[in-house]
Amino acid sequence: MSYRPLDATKAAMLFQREWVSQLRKDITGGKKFAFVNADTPHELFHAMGMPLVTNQWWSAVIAAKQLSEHYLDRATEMGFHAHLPRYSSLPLIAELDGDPSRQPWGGLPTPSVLCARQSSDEHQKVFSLWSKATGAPLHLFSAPGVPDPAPRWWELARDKWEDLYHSDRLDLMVQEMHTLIAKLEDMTGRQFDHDQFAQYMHAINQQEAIFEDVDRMIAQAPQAPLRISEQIPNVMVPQWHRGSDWALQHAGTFREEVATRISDGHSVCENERIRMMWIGAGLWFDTDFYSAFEDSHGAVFVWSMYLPFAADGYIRTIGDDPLRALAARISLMNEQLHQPPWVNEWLVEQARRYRVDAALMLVPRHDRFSGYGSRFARRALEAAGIKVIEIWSDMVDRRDWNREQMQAHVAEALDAIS
Amino acid sequence: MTPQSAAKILDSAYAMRATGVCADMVGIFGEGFPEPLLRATGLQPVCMHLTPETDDACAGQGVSECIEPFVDHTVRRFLHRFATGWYQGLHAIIFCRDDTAALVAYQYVLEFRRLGLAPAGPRLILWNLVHAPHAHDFNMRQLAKLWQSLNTSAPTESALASTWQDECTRADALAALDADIGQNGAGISASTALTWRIAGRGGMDGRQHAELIFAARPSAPRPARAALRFGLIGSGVTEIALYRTIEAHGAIVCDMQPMTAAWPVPLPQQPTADAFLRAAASDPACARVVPPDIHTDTVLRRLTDAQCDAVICQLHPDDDVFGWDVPQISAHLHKRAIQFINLGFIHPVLDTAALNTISAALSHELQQRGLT
Repeated sequence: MSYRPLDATKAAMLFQREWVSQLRKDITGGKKFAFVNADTPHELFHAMGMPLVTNQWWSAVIAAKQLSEHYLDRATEMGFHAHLPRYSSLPLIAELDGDPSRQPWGGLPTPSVLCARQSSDEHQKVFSLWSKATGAPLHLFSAPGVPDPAPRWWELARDKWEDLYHSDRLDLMVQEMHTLIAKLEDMTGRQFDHDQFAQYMHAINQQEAIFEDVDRMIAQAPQAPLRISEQIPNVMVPQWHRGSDWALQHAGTFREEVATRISDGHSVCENERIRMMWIGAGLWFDTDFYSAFEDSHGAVFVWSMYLPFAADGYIRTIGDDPLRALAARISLMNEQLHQPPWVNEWLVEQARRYRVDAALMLVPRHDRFSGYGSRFARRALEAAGIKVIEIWSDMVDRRDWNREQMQAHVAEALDAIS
Repeated sequence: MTPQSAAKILDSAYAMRATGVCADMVGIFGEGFPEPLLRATGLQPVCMHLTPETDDACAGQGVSECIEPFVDHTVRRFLHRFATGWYQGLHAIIFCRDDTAALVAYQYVLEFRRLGLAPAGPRLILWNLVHAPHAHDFNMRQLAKLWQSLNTSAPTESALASTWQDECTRADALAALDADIGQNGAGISASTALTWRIAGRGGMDGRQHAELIFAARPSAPRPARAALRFGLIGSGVTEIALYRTIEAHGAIVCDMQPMTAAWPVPLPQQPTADAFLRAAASDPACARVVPPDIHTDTVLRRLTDAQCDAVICQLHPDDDVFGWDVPQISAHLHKRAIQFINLGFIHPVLDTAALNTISAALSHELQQRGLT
């Protein structure tokens, strides 16, 4: 039986494409939009009615359209050296290239405001260049470190976040949020409504709780009911619009469809023998790679970080201070996914929940922020009895990607399991 | 003290930097820590990331396997030393969050300890100074936490004032060195200046360091006036041999590489903890300073003011920060008819063959631009 994609996947992709198209029209008509990094408080822009485009999502779209080769070569021509991080900079290079018609869907208009968090060192550099090129003002969130990282952070993150992320860090982030809110009020002419924002934060928790259900269902299903290439858009497109009516409705539809699949006994690979996790961001220029081992080895990717992180990374008890709860969501968002001890302990827990046999770990040499901690993760997973296969590549740069060679490399490792 | 004996002490301190440890020493990993605050408590800050290449430790496979190949060379070296107990005698080690390598070093040593791959030993402290004016209250809270972590009291006003005086003297001495290297042929070479600057990072107090520099200056060989004036930018360089290789082709008159530009952090006008933190948080040498233009604009201004004939850029293969500035620096210099020579990736540790290759590449670039 051939694999049939979910209807929800098509709906999510269509929604996002139409949203961008509408955004272009709106901007032509004078509407403002923000261009922001993934680990910034999108919630504030949403609350102020300012649409936003996420840097890493746009980077993935450029890569998926097989345009990264062109832009990364252009980056070298512009004088940027070849070892700089690519995932967070690909949209900047596309902007500096100056030909929107080459970009996906006709490119992005000039943003009205830029926002990044200084989690990784290149962020302020990349966004500063963007600001210079477009004239858009830049709002930076600082990213002080956590001195005593709790290995099992997800057990504390929902309710005990004040201790986990530290009051001084949260105070600073809330202060920086107030500064951004004031700027957005100036730009939009709207007042930030604290009561409405509290409701909105509850809606986001509700959305993430739906994803938590889906996560549990997929983890417990006898076999993988859908590919991770479908998990990702069904989680991340709503995540870019989190808390909106559409996002909540879509999350619900996705849950229903997954539940139906599981109850119908549908599986990605009837002969499922090896359950795998994909560690790291997506391989955006070759997402077919995720299904490359189904026929040959009965090996199926059951896990990618995006779905389970919806619960552990996003759900925060709101209490009487929604902005502070938002700071608790954002103030360590990226670090928990990439750095020790957060990432290694979380991955082992996830592998256990999903009954994983093998982990394919994307190690991007030139995106060090994402690559640090890979070896600790490898060590922890191997100690838990999981085979780890390193994939030395990049999320968006296909120039060094040799599909045949990589497939052979993985197949050889899987041969030893099956 | 004769100029020669002062120079000998400085050269020796450079060679030995931070190889000894004792209980009142606090290791500092990374740039950006306002060391005078610590000195004023009686503790002695010593630089952890500039230790010599000799006597490297290997902590074994367990540690090696956890360090990715793209981790900075200085961090890798430090981690091995740490895991073999090299730093057991220190009072504590402070890691500067806003220094890329230091954050990674902190996270990895914590994890090594948690996993039982490194011994218990000195307290490990993350120094969370945010380089932005709006973060002053946050930064003051970090200072209070620091004293608590170090199990010491905040320095008294008089101790702070006295240390500040000493550090002002050091700053004067280092400024004199900067002025020296700017005087092509009349001053001392940038390689000597770097050696003597780094000599102070192994625990030497400000006054002693300054006295040695002022005493040694007359002894320094005045290089012949070079035909070419160079600026030096890019990744941190501690290899004096690289300087000498470049100096064979001209004089480095503007040294903006981080090992020169980022230490010590700027001093305030007043000797108060508040003022020290404000000065440190606005240090333009920090690549994470907000607004980000401060960093790049400072580099550009100093290169322009130095009237360089050419600016030489060198980068570590794992650079992920400075490379973003390269095109605008290149364009800025081009507009002012200053040549920009990008030597590309240079490993932080260089053997003779590598130095010969660099020399040949530089020679070729200079010829191409009609600068020989």
